[in-house]
Amino acid sequence: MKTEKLLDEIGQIDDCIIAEAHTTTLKLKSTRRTWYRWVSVAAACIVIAVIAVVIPKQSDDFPELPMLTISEDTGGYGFEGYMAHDISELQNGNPWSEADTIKSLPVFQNPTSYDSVGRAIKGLSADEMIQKARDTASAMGLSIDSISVRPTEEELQREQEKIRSVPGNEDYEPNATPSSVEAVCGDVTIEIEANGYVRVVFENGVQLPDEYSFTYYDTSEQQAKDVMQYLLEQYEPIVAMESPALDLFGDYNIYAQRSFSYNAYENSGGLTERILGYNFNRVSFSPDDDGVLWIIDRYSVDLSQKLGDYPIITAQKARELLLQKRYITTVPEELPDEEYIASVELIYRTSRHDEVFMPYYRFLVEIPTMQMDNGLKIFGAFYVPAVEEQYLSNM
Amino acid sequence: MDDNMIIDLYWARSESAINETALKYGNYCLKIAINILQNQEDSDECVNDTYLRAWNAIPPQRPTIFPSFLGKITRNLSLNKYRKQRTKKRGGYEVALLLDELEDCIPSGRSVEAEYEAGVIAKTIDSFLYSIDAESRIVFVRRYWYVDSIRSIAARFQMNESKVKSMLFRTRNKLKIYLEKEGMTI
Repeated sequence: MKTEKLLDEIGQIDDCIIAEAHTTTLKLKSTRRTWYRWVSVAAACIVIAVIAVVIPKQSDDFPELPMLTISEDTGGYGFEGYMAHDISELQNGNPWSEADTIKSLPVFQNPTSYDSVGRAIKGLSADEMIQKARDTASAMGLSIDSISVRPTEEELQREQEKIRSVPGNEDYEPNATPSSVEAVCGDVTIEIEANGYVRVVFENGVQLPDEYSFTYYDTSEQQAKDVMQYLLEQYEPIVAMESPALDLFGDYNIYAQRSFSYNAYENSGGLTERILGYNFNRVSFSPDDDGVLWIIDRYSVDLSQKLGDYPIITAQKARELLLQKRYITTVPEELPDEEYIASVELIYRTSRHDEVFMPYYRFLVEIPTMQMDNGLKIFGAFYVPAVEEQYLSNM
Repeated sequence: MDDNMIIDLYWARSESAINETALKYGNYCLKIAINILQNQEDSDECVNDTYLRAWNAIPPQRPTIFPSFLGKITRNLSLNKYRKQRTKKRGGYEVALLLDELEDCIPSGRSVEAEYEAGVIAKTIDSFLYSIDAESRIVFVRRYWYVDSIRSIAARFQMNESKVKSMLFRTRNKLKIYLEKEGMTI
């Protein structure tokens, strides 16, 4: 009985410890030896990013570039995999293609950092967020009923009580730095985060004209394109892009329903600018179950802290590194044989866990051991840094 | 889909919440259930019940670490089912092994079981786990929370099985001493 009770008590341990044991896996491998890295509780839960700069490295074409450290902290749980009958169904709007020959791409410092409970503590000030909320409301022709800065006193108090109740944290003081602002405009709420993200929530939804289908599961690709054109025009003051391009992405769930994510990005300028637009300057529209517009998310990342233009390896070279098992992944399986590599694209990893925004090649690889009974395949994501190895301190 | 978005779907009472949860965390929950029950059908049932419990709990709850929240539900449901089935001598031998191992952690002391407020022992275990090195902590949690087999832990972290066993043995003994020092009885 005592061991049963102990087993139950262990079941109630801290969520962060449970998450840590889940996210810590064999992640990065070198050709010389296999190694793994333990992600600390802080990294799994609090998400302190590794990173950045260290020793200047020189070459003729790229003088004095800071060394970069690859962040292995994926921050998420579960693994990154997409379901589809065929890889062709997983196309997206990425302006990069394998035929492009890019010699270099910029790398940026993430201007925002986050505290132990995931709140942004560096970025826009409270005044700047309030101004941005007012500008957004004004652009939408809304008047603000109330505006509040978060975390509120009540939220801080609750957080303090919760964390202090864990032995060893009796002196915990929550960080009161403003992390977001919420403006209520009737049944519309505008949220501004310190990282500059804007979210507009229509509490009662916005009914679209009858000719448009805007749902999670019952909208075809053409219907998705049509409704996106309508939404981009209708919400142009929030979208505020010179040349928006669609980024529709539709994968399947376990019930074989295909759901689209309705995104667009700034597609003006040369290829590098378009790649940056695709990764850092985006807008997303989300429906609710009734097919009405529920949420608009507008991401426009501050890229003012550029570390430099770094030389980039080719997709072919990245493929070689992938096959040498020099990748980062959350897929809980070994990389299958080369024949299962289904696609490659060049992307920036832009999560809040990345202290540096740098480019990677993302390979989608069919995982043959995970094929579903209904014929759907699972394609797992494997990342290989695109920056040349000599600028990476832990490659 | 981002966890916050999934939780928003629960708050909006959208049934897509369950689909998205199943898509993202179905395998995660299933692995925990199978580790405990070692039976696909029973495990599927526990995972489906997990979604229902999550649906009933959110709102008012807003879990901060969604997979841990789900995993705790699955683990509890699976252990409850294991206990019911044990009398019928069905499945769950890994749990039986694990219970034997946990004997090492039981602090000696008063023979009468003390009554603690709910969660006090768990918080003491938290405190212990935070005090030891990350490697030992993770291996301990994989074994006694996720109910991973020794072989599975060894494969996951590329250790040999004897290393995993000795690491667990040391951690169990340390936990016993820690609980005794904190005046805990179980």
